[in-house]
Amino acid sequence: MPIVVTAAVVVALAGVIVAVRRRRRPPDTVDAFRRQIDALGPDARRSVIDASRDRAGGADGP
Amino acid sequence: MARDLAIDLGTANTLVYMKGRGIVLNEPSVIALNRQTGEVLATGREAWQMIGRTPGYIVAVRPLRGGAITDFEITERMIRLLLQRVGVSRFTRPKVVICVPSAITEVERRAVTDAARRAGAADANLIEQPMAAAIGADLPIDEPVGNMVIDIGGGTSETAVISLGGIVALEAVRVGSFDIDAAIQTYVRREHGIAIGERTAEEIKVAIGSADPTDDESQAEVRGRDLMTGLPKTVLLTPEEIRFAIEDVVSSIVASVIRCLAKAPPELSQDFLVRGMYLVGGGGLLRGLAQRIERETEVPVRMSNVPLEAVVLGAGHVIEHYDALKGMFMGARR
Ligand SMILES: Nc1ncnc2c1ncn2[C@@H]1O[C@H](COP(=O)(O)OP(=O)(O)O)[C@@H](O)[C@H]1O
Ligand SMILES: [Mg+2]
Repeated sequence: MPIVVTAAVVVALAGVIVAVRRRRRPPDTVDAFRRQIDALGPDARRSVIDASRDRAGGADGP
Repeated sequence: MARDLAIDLGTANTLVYMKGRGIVLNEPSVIALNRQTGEVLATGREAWQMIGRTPGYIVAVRPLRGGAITDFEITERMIRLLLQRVGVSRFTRPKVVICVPSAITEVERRAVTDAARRAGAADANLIEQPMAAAIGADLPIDEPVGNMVIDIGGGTSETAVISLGGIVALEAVRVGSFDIDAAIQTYVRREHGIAIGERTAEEIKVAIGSADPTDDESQAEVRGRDLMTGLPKTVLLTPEEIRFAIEDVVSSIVASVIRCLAKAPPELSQDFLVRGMYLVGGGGLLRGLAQRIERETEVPVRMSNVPLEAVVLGAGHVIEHYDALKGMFMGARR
């Protein structure tokens, strides 16, 4: 029984330490910005562009 | 499982984009209520048909009319009904991205996101309308170049300069195409002595209204109530007089575009001369408006080929790439 309790406490402590560490690490802003720009690029946007082409029914605006 | 949603909560029209499906709803932002009990009687197209034609105990209103939320409770109910209609319940809990006029206040923003959460959204975030419009209109906003979008809606006109996925300059005014309808109503009353409703005024605007002389001009017959006799009466309106009637509104819209151009950093200004400015929104369809803005700014104006859907398509793109683009939510920056 005491062994189970000790093990549980150790696991919980380890969890807390990992969580704190993770929070301390600064977020990778370079990577996040890169991903944002990529998601706005022509490749990522193709589906929206196609959706809008369908809507326009091939007819261009004035 | 819930499908995430993007909503263009426009002053005139509301559109909903469902992840993986596309646009699933497109209708007027109108709600009809029983004045006495406060019960909702109709929303959308059905409510729109009631505008100006209801008995005393019913009111048909546009809760976002002036680009501001005048009645929080009604707005909240509209959002709730909207989400219900596209299948959101407490069990589905989708993520929702909502486009709102940039001019709305912090308190109004909170009201919108809270309403969406209470209606069952797991998470609700806002993005600026011109930003969504730029994505939906397919402008190269991933590049460090000046992209300019002019979005003219019912109650608001917003002009923004966007570069590298962010807003560089923004000019939002609470003047839009509804004000053109109101100017036509006032003019017809004063000059012809007849009263017309706002829907008739809108029809006149679409039929013969213009911001600059064009080749396809025609006259229009309009029926209204004679203010002297109280009887129905028909008058003939010319395009010149309508142009005169709406001039103040048109010039204040053009002035806001010019103010935005003046706010842009010089490096980006050069880009506009080559790339032009993009016009979106229903108000941008006014005859001669693109030409008028071009004449006054000496910058080419291009019309988006999806003027009414650009905003919701852009917000839809954000929903499709939620994790990568969540940094673009209002409040996420700064
Ligand atoms: N062909 C047209 N000419 C002039 N105005 C138009 C035309 N089509 C739509 N509008 C006007 O555009 C406005 C709606 O535009 P919209 O972009 O949907 O507004 P919002 O985004 O504010 O909901 C309405 O006031 C409508 O009268
Ligand atoms: Mg709009």
